[in-house]
Amino acid sequence: MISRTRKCNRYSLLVACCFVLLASNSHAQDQSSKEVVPTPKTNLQSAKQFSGSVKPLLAKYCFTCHGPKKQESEFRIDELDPNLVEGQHGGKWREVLDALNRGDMPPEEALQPSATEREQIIDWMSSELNRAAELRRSTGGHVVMRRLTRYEYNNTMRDLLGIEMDYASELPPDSRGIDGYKNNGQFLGMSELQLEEYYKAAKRGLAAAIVQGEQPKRIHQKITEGAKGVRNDSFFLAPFDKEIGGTVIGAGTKDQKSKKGGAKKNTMILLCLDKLPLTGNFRVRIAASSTPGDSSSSPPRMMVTIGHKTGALVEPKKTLAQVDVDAELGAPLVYEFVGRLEEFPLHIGKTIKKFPGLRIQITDMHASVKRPAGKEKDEPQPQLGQPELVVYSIEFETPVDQAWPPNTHAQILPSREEGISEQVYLESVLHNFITRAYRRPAQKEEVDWAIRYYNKLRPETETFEDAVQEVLTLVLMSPKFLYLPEFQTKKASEKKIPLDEYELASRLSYFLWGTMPDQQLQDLSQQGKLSHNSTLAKQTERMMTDEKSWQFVESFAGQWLDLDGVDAVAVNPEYFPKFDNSLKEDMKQESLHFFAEVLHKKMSCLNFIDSDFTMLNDRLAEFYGMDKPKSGHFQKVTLPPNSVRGGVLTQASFLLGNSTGAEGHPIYRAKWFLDRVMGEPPGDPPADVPELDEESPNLKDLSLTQKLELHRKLASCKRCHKNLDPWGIPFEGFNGIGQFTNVNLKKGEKKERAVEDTSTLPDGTEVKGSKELVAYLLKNQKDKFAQAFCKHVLTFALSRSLEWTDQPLVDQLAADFQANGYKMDRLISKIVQSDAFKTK
Amino acid sequence: MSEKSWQIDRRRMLVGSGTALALPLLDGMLHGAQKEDAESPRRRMCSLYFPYGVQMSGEYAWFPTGKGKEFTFSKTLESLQQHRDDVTVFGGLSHPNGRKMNGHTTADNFLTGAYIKPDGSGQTESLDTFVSQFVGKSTRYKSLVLSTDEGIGEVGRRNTVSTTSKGRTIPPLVSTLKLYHHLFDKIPAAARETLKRKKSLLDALLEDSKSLNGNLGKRDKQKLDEYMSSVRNAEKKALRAEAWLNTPKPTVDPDSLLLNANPIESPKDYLQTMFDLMFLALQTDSTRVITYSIGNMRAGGSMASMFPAIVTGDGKSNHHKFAHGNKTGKYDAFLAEQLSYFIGRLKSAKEGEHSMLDNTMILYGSSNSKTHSNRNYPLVLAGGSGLGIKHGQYLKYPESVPLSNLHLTMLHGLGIESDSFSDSSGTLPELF
Repeated sequence: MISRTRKCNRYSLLVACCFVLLASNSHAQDQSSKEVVPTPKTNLQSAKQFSGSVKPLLAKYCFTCHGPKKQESEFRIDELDPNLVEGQHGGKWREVLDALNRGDMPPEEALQPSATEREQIIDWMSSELNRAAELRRSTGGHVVMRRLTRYEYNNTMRDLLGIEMDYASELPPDSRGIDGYKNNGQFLGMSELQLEEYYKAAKRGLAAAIVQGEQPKRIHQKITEGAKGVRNDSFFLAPFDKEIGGTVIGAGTKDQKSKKGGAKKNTMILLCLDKLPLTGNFRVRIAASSTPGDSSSSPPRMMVTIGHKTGALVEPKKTLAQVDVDAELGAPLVYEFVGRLEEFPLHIGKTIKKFPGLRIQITDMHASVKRPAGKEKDEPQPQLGQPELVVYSIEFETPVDQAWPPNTHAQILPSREEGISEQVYLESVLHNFITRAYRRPAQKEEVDWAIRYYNKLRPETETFEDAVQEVLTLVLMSPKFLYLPEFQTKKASEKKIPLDEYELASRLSYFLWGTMPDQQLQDLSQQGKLSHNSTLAKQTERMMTDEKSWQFVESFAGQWLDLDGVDAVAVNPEYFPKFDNSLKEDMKQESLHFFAEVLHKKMSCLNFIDSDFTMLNDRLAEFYGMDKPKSGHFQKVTLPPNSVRGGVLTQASFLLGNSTGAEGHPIYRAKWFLDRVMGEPPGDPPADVPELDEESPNLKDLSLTQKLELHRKLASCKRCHKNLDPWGIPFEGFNGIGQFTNVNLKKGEKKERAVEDTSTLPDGTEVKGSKELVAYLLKNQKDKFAQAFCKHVLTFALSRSLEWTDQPLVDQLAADFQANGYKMDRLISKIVQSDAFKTK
Repeated sequence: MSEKSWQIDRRRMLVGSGTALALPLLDGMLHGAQKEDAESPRRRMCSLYFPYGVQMSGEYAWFPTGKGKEFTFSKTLESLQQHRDDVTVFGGLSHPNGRKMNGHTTADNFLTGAYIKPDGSGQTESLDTFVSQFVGKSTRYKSLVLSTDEGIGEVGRRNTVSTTSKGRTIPPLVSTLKLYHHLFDKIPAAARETLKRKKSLLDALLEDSKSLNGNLGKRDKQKLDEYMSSVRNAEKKALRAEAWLNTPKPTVDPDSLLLNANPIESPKDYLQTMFDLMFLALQTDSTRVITYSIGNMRAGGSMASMFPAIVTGDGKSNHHKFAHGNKTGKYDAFLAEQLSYFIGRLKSAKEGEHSMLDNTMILYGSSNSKTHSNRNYPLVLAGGSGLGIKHGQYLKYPESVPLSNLHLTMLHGLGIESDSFSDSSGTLPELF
């Protein structure tokens, strides 16, 4: 009956496009063109500005009370050092700035500066404070010796050991650097707890990679109907449906007795296996199909978890996979998943008698309806017409390896030839491993260092393999592995010198693959050829077509578009009772797949502003009110000509990620837009900004646009908000979860309010709605977008903040980007060949 | 009281390890030299931090009315009425340095009082770390640093308010399950061997890093320093763990706790489980210093920032946005109830003639009064009457009294006779 098998691949994207070799003469555009290098404001200039225009104003309005004669609140302004960069009074100036911003100073009864005068003082102070902060952060254009990010570490361990595991699960998340990118070396820290996690991860990985003793006995269990009740072995818990010939996992329509909330008895199936190794790889095969449902409904989403039960309420478990089951009833598909046992919580404490050993649970995620918050009494209602999940059999197998020792072992410890002493053998083992781990040839001292450690340990360890594992753990905790050190050979480190071939390979590989260089890159480094621009161009192309480039999509696009922001917003169930939180993942996937499509199909990056297509699966299409596609996999969908969608600015990830979870928020949306699309992030709000009290009777009946207008009129808000709000208002047609709607419904109100999405942009242009805004952008702001996009990619590529010295390169890249159809692959290639990328 | 097995006889250890050379004086043994009188109390401190301040006006205005002994709890703090004789509420206190800082960044100096520059420099040692050097000597863990959100967070928006002696943020323990394992898991038989190996591994790593040092530029050196000090700290921790090897960990039935409580599904279950574990950690004397950052100032990507929306089932999406709307009231009351729960647990546990609460000082508060206002922090001190703290008051201070004066007062209550802490100008005499 079961004939088809679907393997669930790690990469949801299949890169099938074939790249044509770039014929462009990449070195033709050398960098000797006479650019005028913009210099930042100097201390001298700012001192002149201070004494010329700012100091007289301070003298007029402030010194009377905070000067030589009087020092109200023991605060004296006339003695503050106007050099914020080198002086010691940054904090005091900030206090002055805050008092001005709040409008606290000068006090009401005193002489007041005019609005322009106030602005003049504030502008000088805030720009000087920013300049001082920037200079303090400056790395002089050098990349700091940076630690691998969490995801880079995970990928590197996987590729180095050849074993797919979650190595980073216990590592603390990396913070977004100042520009929104996690790979900024300045912001990547280290601590002893983190070291502890590296230690555990290395141990775990090496214990899986290096095997000892005989091949473990293979365990193979398959259960189908009627297996119910067999103790210490395996059983189905959910009832078997004779008519269908399988076990139906529905919405709890058949067994409503359980009142404990959460999953009902027949929303899951169990397979329990006792007496099982706790390590090694395994394979789970599940034969399943779906009952027919309404044409409009989504297929069941099967979630498979593995864990065990240690107490009545304690049940550690972890998700193995989630997959849409769309096979028709009677023609089930076999869904196959692989994993490693040590990845699942199976080792903690004892299991309880009733459910011994490993438990495989299957749930239909669509069937377990979540209760809206605060409404504990309502039982989830089964949705009519919702197809149900049918499971025919579960199969479990461990280990999966055919060869013994497995390849992962042989890669580190190849079989020892006869006549080779243990010492010589060990030297070559360590030399090879260190070379791969450090991403460059191992040096003699490094091998010696490892051997010394081995010699110290060997007498205490039982086996040779034990000692090797310990030594390799040491290597995997060295800063030479955990960081990407780029050595400065000259004392005067301010001058930039070329990266060596291996350093270049690492920089390239972590940029485009988020992992260690592969053999081909290493070989080219060894031959000294990688740094040639022609080689770099070829390699860049090869790497972009490799499936590993999904990592670039996930990390760069994820961080550029701030997709984490989607998870940060809790959708309010009172506004959107039917909203399913798992849709957030689909929203993020839409943006990632969209980005990947633009990249791989070599489309113009102006598609990010507006496009005639997007990438959808069935759930998101339904959410957007479109009838295609019907599958859970993301595919390209051409948008109808009058569609409100197109480009990243109308994707739900942006719209929801910058809402309150109840309503859209024009200020958050504007901030995101200016930062991510225009490259002009607005500053943080100053301290103690007074709030608009939404409950106040004066405001209650005003529309949002009117409220914002009022907000902009307040002196302390105006300076920033006059350039901010207009960019967010055009998105008002999209509600808090990103659906296009003509009305906004407020909680507790029956009254619908018409959307006001007409906005006057800072240059005076009036636009109505997002459609007109994107049209305006494509007409008037392409230069700005090009600059911004080039800056974003360059920041990520260099893994540092850009500085003023980088501006000529940005200009050059942006000009080339615009002159050549806004192609991302070309931009990436240009970046990789730039001096900034190739030097340290 | 009979001698506890964990008070290691130094001689015995020397024989056991087969070497008499250069053995460091371990913390566990140090305790023997200054062993406390069995009668003397176990002095403890807990700090509980929440972000964004509280609602200041309307039905849910946080601060009490009246002053001194004659005060009435606000509706928000009603749940503290049952512990009236064990709590003091403060008005008007703040960190003078915090008042100079941006309203988004003051979380970081709640326990330090430092002036932190926008790039994160300037941070100093936090109160709990300082205290742990004294009262943390005789326990398995010097202190526990807990948070709802993983990782250290970002400059100005850290996930914990605890810092090392050098002002570096301490990464927190977050999950209730992990905390449970940390506190109560059996020590594996091979632990001694593992620790020994770990120590030689750390030695070898230091040797390796030194070889790197010569080749690096200035900023790279800072990174390497950070790495090396992490290695050294790991080494210190291994030494401490080694000293505690012979002492079994206390056992606690996991079924008595809701270890699977999901913070996003039920903040109440999660927080109470966290407080249960904190209580158990203190009761089993696993530590005497705990700091728990209930939330942080990161609006995005933070679990804790979703608490107000989940708890109240209302309106805006994250804590930051809640605070901007002056709508945290119901959540403020909810948090006060959790505090009250924790106080109640400590109060009902006897310890000699006193309750555990009498020997424990709990500092609860935020470093904003509302959203981004960096003055007049909402603060509660609970417990410690066995240590001489006078409670049942609402104490209002002018801005010239820095919050560090409360920190210093707490130090004195803990028996640490410091002259000052951070920018303190004295103690708060009303508390003694």
